[in-house]
Amino acid sequence: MKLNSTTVGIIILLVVFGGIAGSVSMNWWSTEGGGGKQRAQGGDGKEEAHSLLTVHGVVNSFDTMGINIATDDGQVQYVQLGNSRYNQSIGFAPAVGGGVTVVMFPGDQGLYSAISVTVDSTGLTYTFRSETGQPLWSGGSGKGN
Amino acid sequence: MKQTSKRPSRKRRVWLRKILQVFFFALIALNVINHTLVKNGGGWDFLPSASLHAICPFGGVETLYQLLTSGAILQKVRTSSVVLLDLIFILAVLFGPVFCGWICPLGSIQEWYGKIGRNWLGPKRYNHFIPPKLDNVLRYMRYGVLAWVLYATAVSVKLVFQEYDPFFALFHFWTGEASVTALLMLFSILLMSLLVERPWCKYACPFGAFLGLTNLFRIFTIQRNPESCKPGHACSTLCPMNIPVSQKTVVRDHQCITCLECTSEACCPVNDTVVFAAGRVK
Repeated sequence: MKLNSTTVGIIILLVVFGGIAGSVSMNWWSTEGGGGKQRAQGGDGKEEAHSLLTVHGVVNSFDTMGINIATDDGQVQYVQLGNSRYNQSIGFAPAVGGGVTVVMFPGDQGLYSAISVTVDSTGLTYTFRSETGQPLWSGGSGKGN
Repeated sequence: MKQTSKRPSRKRRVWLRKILQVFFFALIALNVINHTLVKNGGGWDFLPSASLHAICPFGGVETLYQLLTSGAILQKVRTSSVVLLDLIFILAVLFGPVFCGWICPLGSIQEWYGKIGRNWLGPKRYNHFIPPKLDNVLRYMRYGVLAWVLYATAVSVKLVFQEYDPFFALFHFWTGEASVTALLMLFSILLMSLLVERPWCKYACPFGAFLGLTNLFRIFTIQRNPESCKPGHACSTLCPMNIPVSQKTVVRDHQCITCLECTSEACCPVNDTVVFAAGRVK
């Protein structure tokens, strides 16, 4: 059985574009699998206001995208910082094993995003987002992740 | 005699492939731009605004370990990634890695840059710089990249590849979210594309490595009829992945991207000699 390129192309277009359109209509592109959380959205497609949490803990690890902390109540939490270049530009580099106080909110896909991090040893506070969740590395008035 | 000219040329085109490449590139670019605008309080309602992670099927591969072991999906990866991976894998089992040859925007942009190199150097010199022995070894490097991505992702439970991913950099170079490493990777790949066609696909792409495995058992294959084949070797010369099609009867090379540029529909001057078919064609 032979196929020409036009037939192959039409099949590809139908399958892939159908998959994308289906994902949009089923809202699969904004949901986690395995019974995960759905992204909180208002009717206009923008995220709703977040409730802020403040936790204190010890830094387990740190990379350019976030920090993993063991909180004082025994939980392990990965907190997204956001933009790696911005983090570097403000000189954020906490020591592993050091204490930090993190103000954060449940952001994209239920992950926590940092508003600010205060390093115990220096007392310096590094701010990543406004209290409404707007990333400080981008303009506009939206709420980022 | 004209048909077996020594200088191969692409007089005929697999035209729908070119259109789909532009279509998917534009679709993904507009979507990501809109996603950035929506995040900043703007955006257009008539356009989709998913994050790139939501429409990248490789996210489905990266999260496979977590999905199989705990039923969970990695941070940032969405259900749609897994759905798209499923569909693209089914297409690959049928036709081979058509995602690479027909859809992938990073593959397309390398191809477009490659046109400049091909026009500059000519079809016989372009894409034939790397010695075949070295080339054959380098082509397996992408399986190493795939193994590293799967291992590092499973251990760290994060999308570690994002920091190095030229695909992410291609659609985020203006947002500040792409790392310097990823931007350098993208720049190097585009520069190399002027000499070698699809260098990222050939040597480093982990998703290409994953999909390339389906070439070993795909249902529809490129087939060459040795009886009607004329010694022009246009199919081998013009194959973007440097597969020696003119030396094979059935192409099951792990690098084939099913672009169909080697077929009688495109560069082969003899009708029904290089065809895309299921089963054995005589």
